Amino acid sequence: MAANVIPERIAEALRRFPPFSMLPEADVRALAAEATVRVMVAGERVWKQGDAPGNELLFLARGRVEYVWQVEERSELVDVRDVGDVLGLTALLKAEPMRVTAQVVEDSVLFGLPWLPLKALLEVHDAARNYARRHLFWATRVGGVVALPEPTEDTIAGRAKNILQAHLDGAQTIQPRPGVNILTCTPEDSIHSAASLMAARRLPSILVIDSERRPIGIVTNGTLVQEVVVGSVSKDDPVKRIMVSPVVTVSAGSSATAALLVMLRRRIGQVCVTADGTTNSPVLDICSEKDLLAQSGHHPAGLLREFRNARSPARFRELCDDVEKIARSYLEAGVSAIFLGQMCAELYDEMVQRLLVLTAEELAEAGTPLPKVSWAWMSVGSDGRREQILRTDMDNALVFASSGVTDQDEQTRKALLGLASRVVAKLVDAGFARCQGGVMASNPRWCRTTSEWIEEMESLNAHTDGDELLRALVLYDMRFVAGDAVVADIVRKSVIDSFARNNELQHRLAELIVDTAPPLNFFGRWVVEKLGGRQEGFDIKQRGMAPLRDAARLLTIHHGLTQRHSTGGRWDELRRNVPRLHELAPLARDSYDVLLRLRTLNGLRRGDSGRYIDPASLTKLERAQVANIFDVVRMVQDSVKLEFSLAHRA
Amino acid sequence: MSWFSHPKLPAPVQAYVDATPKRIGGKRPVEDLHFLVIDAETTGFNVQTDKILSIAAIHTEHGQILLGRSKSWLVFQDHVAVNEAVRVHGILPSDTKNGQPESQVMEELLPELHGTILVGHHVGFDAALLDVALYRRFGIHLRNPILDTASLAMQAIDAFARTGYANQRPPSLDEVCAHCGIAMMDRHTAAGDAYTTAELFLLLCARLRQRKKRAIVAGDLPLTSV
Repeated sequence: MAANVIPERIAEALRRFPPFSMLPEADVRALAAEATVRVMVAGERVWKQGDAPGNELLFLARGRVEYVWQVEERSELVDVRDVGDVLGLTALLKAEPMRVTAQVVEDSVLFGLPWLPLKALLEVHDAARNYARRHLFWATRVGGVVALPEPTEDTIAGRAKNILQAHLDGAQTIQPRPGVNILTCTPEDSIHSAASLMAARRLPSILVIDSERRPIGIVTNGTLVQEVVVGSVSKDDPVKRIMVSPVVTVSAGSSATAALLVMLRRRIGQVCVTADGTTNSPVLDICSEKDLLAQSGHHPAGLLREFRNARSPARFRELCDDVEKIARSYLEAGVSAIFLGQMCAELYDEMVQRLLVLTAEELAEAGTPLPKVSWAWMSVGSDGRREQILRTDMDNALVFASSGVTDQDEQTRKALLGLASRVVAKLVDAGFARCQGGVMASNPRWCRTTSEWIEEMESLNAHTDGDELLRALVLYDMRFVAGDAVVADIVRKSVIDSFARNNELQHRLAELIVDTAPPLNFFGRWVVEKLGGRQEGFDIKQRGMAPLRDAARLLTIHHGLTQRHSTGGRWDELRRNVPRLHELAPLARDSYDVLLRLRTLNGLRRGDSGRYIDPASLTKLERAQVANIFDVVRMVQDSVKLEFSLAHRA
Repeated sequence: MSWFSHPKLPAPVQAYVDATPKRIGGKRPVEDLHFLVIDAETTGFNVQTDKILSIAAIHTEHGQILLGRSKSWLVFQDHVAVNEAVRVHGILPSDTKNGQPESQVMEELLPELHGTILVGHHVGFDAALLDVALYRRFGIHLRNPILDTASLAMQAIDAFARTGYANQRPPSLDEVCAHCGIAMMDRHTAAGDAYTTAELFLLLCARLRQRKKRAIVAGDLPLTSV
């Protein structure tokens, strides 16, 4: 009998989609060999709500099936199954009747796969099982109770190797710095003069060269200590008496990482770069560990140093471009967007501090020094939550100590606004967009005294209008960046207090969270909505991230957990401190992480904020992931409803 | 066993005869019937002289294709010429050397035929060749009722409906599949064409079901015999 190609074709079709893409090829082929195939046309039903699950899992090879839930005399569209989706998994896994009716809306080809062997496979293969388990979440749409998996702490450890990978991928070659002034001397120079040069330039070593600039030896701090301080060599002797020779050399254009390894292995602090990589050609540059670290695939530590030394607007822009490059390579390597946000916040904070110092110097030189008043520069909004990875929108504010005299405060404000508008202009030069809502320290509304902020926060109540409420929420997510931390803390305490003691206000925030209805799923370019509508393009920020972000803020306020600034941190805190949220909080955190990552990558691709996603650009796995996240959003909303006893809404 | 059947049939052949009625009651629900979708690649298009090079058989029961029971064979044939047919299916004389003798293939195929309705696209020709091969091996004729998906398509899909135009020819497998949006699997291999035909057959049944607004019965299908 000839080898049968059909099961092979079926296996190929299956393996393009999860969970089959997560199972060994041979096992999928074995499933395919026992598969059944059925064809149904639009208008037919695959099964009715209440039917028993049978012994096969269905895979939609072609067509489209809608899940309709009959509840209390009405029927509601709860999900759409598209090519590559599985049907009936929940009922099979839980051995319970079908919760919905599966209605064929486009002529469909369904593969039936034997459930028992598939179930056995899912039990052994972790990734596929996790996929299947997450798949169960959709049942919450039809009143199902889902057992949430016990949270694990593997998110960080599992990703460590990927960070290394990102470095190796981004690793650069050694580029001699053009025009760099290398510290050199001749072998006949005295040790004292060589050491003086090192001290004057604050460099740890000096290169000894011949008349054709070829390296013949090196003198380092270590050599000086060993030979002159501890040993008996006179500092008036020529350097050739103590220089270390031969010099370790690498060629220009070789791997920076490899050079680092050479230094580690030979226990030396610097390598010499020459044209041909030997001591027979003139020296081009000398690189220390730190120089190489900064070059060996953009290392954030290297960038931090660069920010500290940068001066010109062009340089800041270049460095911010580098931050984005790192962000992209980290995200593509699967690094958590929440961690990445924390990292970018450190780098951008360093830059803002540097810009403030430079600007203060400029003002002093221009004869208008800053008044001697305590002030603090704060990041607010997404920047305050450390979620600003792209330079889409700056959100910052200033606070300064009130003198108690209005005129004097106005004078101080004027001076600080001068500082802020210069810094904001520099941020714009570095590639940041001005905040559309005017949330910038250069705006008088966001540059206020401690007492003005306190007064505004204390006036918050359940009837505060939407703009004021939004303003308060943006301020709530504040984080001290530079200046005097004491004044920033006064504002922070005031805003937290005003939210914490006001139950009506919290109630109103809860209603806002519950009001956003997450969509059901994606189909092609379309977003499938609960009420049967569809729309093109999808606002991932408003529909997915906002409820998770706002719920994290509100629930931490409600439970008096105010230590953490970021959405991820808030969910962590909720998980640790609120037993009821022990399982849900990590899911919400991961969901937010995935959305933030998706949005950032989308933004990098499209060169904008990335908040509008074209569903067609998502892979099958991403779609499944996002559809799962909508289910988590629903669970979070239910949890908020429960917490604030809100009436059930459709 | 009826009194006029062949007196001394070997057991497997007798079993086939017993299990395979020549006619199917018109009221029997299609859901309960057992179909065998076949496709054969041949040396040419002459029933008298040409032979089967490969054949695939796919069972469908209760409206489902059962892949676990699908089978295909490569048949060894002597003196195969490279002709127009070979250019279509690409089975070269050297390939057929790896096949099994036709008599052995018929022995293996016979139990699959039990009690089934043979389905295929332009199945008449394949069934006729099969009939000749069965007679060569067992001295009996093919008993199974036959269903041509080309005729079924003319009945179930308006675009292919009979027009009364004298030169109208039944639609090809490619035409019907293109119309119904069925992706062809490994075209011009017996297994691929048989699978595609099986999918088409299920789709046509579903269309007919939808058109009649009731479960379909054997009498709704254009059944014929060799």
